[in-house]
Order: sequence, then C-alpha cells, then structure tokens
Amino acid sequence: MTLLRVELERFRCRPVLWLVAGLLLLASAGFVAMAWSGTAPPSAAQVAEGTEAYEAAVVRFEGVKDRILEQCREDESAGAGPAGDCLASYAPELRSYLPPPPWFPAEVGDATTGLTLPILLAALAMGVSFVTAEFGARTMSTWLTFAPRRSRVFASKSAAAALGALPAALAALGLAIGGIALVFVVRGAAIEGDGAWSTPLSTVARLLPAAVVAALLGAGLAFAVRHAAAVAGIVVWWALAVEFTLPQVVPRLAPATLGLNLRAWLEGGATYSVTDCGPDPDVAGAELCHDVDRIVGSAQGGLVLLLAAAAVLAIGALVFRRRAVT
Amino acid sequence: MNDEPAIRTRGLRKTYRSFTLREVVAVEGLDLDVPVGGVHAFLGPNGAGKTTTIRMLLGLERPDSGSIRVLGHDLSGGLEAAVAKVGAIVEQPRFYPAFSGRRNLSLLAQSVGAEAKVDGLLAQVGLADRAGDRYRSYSLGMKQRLAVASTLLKDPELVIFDEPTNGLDPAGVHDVRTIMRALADAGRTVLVSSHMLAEVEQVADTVSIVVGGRLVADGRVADLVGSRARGAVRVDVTDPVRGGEALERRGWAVRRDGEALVVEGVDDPVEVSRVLADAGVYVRELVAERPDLEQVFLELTGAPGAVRPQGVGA
Repeated sequence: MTLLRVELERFRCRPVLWLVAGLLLLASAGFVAMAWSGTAPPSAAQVAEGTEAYEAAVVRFEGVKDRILEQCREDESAGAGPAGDCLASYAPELRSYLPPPPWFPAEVGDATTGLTLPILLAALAMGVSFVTAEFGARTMSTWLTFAPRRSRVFASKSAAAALGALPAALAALGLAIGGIALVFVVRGAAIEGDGAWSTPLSTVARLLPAAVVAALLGAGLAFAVRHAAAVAGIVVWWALAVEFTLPQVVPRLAPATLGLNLRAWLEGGATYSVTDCGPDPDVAGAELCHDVDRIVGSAQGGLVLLLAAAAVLAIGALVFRRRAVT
Repeated sequence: MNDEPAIRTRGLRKTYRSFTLREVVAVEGLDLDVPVGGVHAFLGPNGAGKTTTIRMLLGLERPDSGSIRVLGHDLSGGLEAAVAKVGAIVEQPRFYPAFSGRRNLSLLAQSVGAEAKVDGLLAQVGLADRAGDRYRSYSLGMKQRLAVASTLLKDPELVIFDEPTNGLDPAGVHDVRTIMRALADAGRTVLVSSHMLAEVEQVADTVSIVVGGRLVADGRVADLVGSRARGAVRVDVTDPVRGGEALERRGWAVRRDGEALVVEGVDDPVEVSRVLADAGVYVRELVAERPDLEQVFLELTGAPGAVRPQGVGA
C-alpha cells in the first residue's frame, strides 16, 4: 500500500496527466455547449417558417379530406378503428412543423457516445505516459534502489495508472451529464422519458471499467516497450491491421477485435456479419451464399477486454522483471 | 564478530549482445571484496565494468553468472533486504524534471518512511533555498547534491557513489568528500567509483582497480601506493659523472636527467646521500619520487595483471 500511495501521489503531481484530464473535460464542456445550443427554443423565423408550412399542409389536407374520410369509412366497415380517429391521424399538426423539443435521454446519449473514444484514449494515454515518463527520465533505476521488488513496483504503478484515470473519466462523464441536466433545467425543458437517468447511469457504469482497462492496457504496453512513441506505433498498427483490416479480410475473426468487444460491452451486445455458403439446392454443384448476422454478447465483450488487458499486463510484467533498467 | 565484507562478489560475469549479436564482456569473473566501514574506491578506466558491477550490486542488472553478497544478504534471494540498507547514486542523478527537488526527495522518502528527514537533508547538501524549484532548472552540481541527499534517506549501512563529484565545483567536491568521510567515520561503508584519482586518494581507505571487467589490484590505498614506492630518488649533484659511477657501484640503476640523476631501487633515500658523500660528491637537492594513486592506476591499467598487496579484502 505504501508504494501505491507514493505512485498515486506521483500521478497526481504530473502536469502532463492534468493536461490530458483538462482536454477531456474540455471535450465534455463541448457536449454541454452543444446541448445548450440544441435545446434553445425555436427562433421567431423558425416558428414563422413552420407555421407557414403547417398552414399550407392544412390547405392541402382540406383538399383531400373527403377522399381520406371515404377511405377511413371503408376501413371502419372492414373492422378497423373509428373513421373519425382515422381522419384525425392524417390531419397535420403544428408541432410537426416546428423544431422538436429537446429530449434529455437523446442529448445525454449523444454526449456519452461522443465521449467514449476520448475517455478511452485519455485513459490509455495516462497509463502510457505515467509509466514511460519514468523510463524516459530514467528515474526508474533511482526508484528501484528504494523499491527493489519489481513485481511490487509493476503492480503499484499499474494500479495507480488505473486508479488515476478513473477520476478523470468520472469527472468528464459527470460534467457532461450534469451539465446537460443543468442546461435542461435552465431552459425549462423536461428531464423525462424512458430511461432519463437509468440509461446515462448504465453508460457510466460500463464506461468507467472500460477506462480502467484502457489505462491498464496503456501501462502494460509501456512496461513492455518503455517508449511512448513505440506504444503509439503499436496502437496505430493494431488499429489498422487488426481492428480495420482483419474483419474485412476474414470476417469470422471480427470477434477478435477489441472494437467489436468494446461495443458489445458498452451497448449490451454487438453484431457482425459473416457470409455463410452451402450447396445450392436448385443448381447442382453450385454454392449459395448469404450474409448472417452474429451477436457478441455484453459479457463476452467484457471478458475479451479483460483477457486482452491481462495478456498485455503479463507481457509487460515479464519484460520489466527480466530486462535491465537503465 | 561477523567479518564478512560489506560487498563480496565471486566469479561475477556479465555480457551484452551488440546489435550485430556480437558478445561484449562487461564484467569477467570479478571477485570484489569491500570491507565493512571506511571509504572503498572502485577504480578503472572507461568501459572497465565499474558501473555494470554497481548496477548488478543493486539488482538493476542480472549477472550471467557468479554470486553477489551485500551486507550479508545473497542478492539472488535477499535483494530487498540488502537494498533496504543501501543508498546509491548510479551514473547520473535521475529525478523527475517537472517536480521540485523537495517533491522528488519526498516521494522517495515516503517509500521508506523518512519524510521527516527531507528538509534536514536538503539543508545538509545546501539545497534548502532551491528545494522548491523544479529539478530541470538545477545545475549539474545541484542535481548531484540532491542525489547525495537521496542516498542518505534510508540511513544506509552502505552508500554507493558512482562518480559523485561529476559537475561539482570545488566547494561541492569538498562537501561530497566531507560527507563520504563523515559516513565512513560513523561506521558506514562507502563505495565510490570515480575518475578523480586525486580526490579518491584523499578520502579512500581501500581500493579495487578493475580493467576489462577483471580485478587487477585491491587493498589499502597506502599499501598499494607504498608497494611501488621503492626506487625513485631524484638527486641533483655537483659532479653527475662521478656521482653516477658511485651510485652504480652500489648496485642501483642510475640514469641521467639533465644535470640530475634518477636512482631507482632505493629503499631509503638516506643511503643515496651517504654513498655520494663517501664519493666526495655534494648534493644540491634530493627528492624521493613517491608514486601517487594516479601513477599506480596508470601503471596497472596499462599492464593488466593482478597485484594483491597484503591488506583488507585480499
């Protein structure tokens, strides 16, 4: 615990990590600003334009009203609902021609979806930077003369990276969700709808563990290669070769990508398509192919992410234990 | 009483692979003994394996073979127990550039429960006024001072200084020398690797000299220097020809150096004076040419071959 306490103190004192956290909060503030703009009441011009379009629609409706009523009566005699209701459903409504009122779950959903990548990248960067800075400044050898057990140093530093990234992610999500809620209160808009609060809270509950995994991945990679540029190279290579190219070349291997598993974890499941081919029953010797959607479940996605982090951490720990520290 | 040395290595070997996969031997079968207490100098030319050895003593490198015992602990299983009692500066001082000197020291102190000592140590090394400044703004001398302070955080039994006076001004060199001497006088063991032989000679009690990763000499500094003290007497006489003949008849090797004679193989310079007086040659000046550690070092590092005068660690 002593080492973890020191590492957390070291994490807290690093200006670069504060900069990353600051950028993340800036992104959150951007979503709040977008919500402020998106929840503004319609302008006079928008109202005038909408009203004009509505009145034109009413005129058009009056022109075809009798024919619609006739059709509705026929439907009514055929067992459908009352003709009056049927006609009313075709009548234009003014609200359909005005900008839609703001909807809290949609605004928050947009913000949390938009923040997912920045939060995960920030957590990864924090994990990488926290460890590579130590190798870059060559302070690791000094530290090892005070804490010679490398397994403990590895564990405490990785844990500090994960715990340090957590408040930044939480603050970013809190600022975005709290800010948007405040915007709704200030605008006098209703915070209601199915899952008004449960959806964002569920997103937070899934995104925070993902941020921890990202920070651990960053720390593990940093222990393995020791240079931020080398980690960046690996991440870019992985993104291009595995995340982007592999599913296109071998679609059945899509479940091996972290992106799909991350989506499955965050969204409660994700689908990918594979082409299934079999003998064509109509043409002898021919093949019949069709696309089939397959599902990666949330639990599977989370498990794959955990296993990936564990594998990278194991490699990082092994390299750190075996390789000389300069 | 336990007479085990503070550091004992046996058959220590470390090799590296170059990019062309060529094997480079950094340390080759090193048997090093550093006695408990006192200042022990660890000397050798660049590339002799001093820093590699120090890094192995601290567990920063793994030896290919051989054994290391530090303060009674075998490093293969007792690294933590050994290093807990060792303060060390390895190569350059290494601290976080963006943190202040105080914060750097405080972070290290927290790991060993020595936070209360931070301010006192900063004052002791003359950094109290600049303790709040960022480490990156420090001069090399200030960085060295901070590193010296960090070695003292653990109240160490063994302090290892790798080139501790690099970049220090004369006052700083004096301070480090004083600190080393004070530590030794307090019963601690100081291992200092340095190129500044004159400095080392002033402060070291014992010495080990390595060349090409091998030990070529060790023992007390006085013994090592004294073992090469025989023979060098420079004498300026009124009649060099007659004086030279008289000295050669006595069995000494004599060579001319201008008007002076250099007589080698002399045990006692008084003998030279007596022989010249007996020959009726008068002496203007007589100087016993006593080699210093630097001369011994140059002689040994230029001609490898173990020389083990009696003394500690031998």
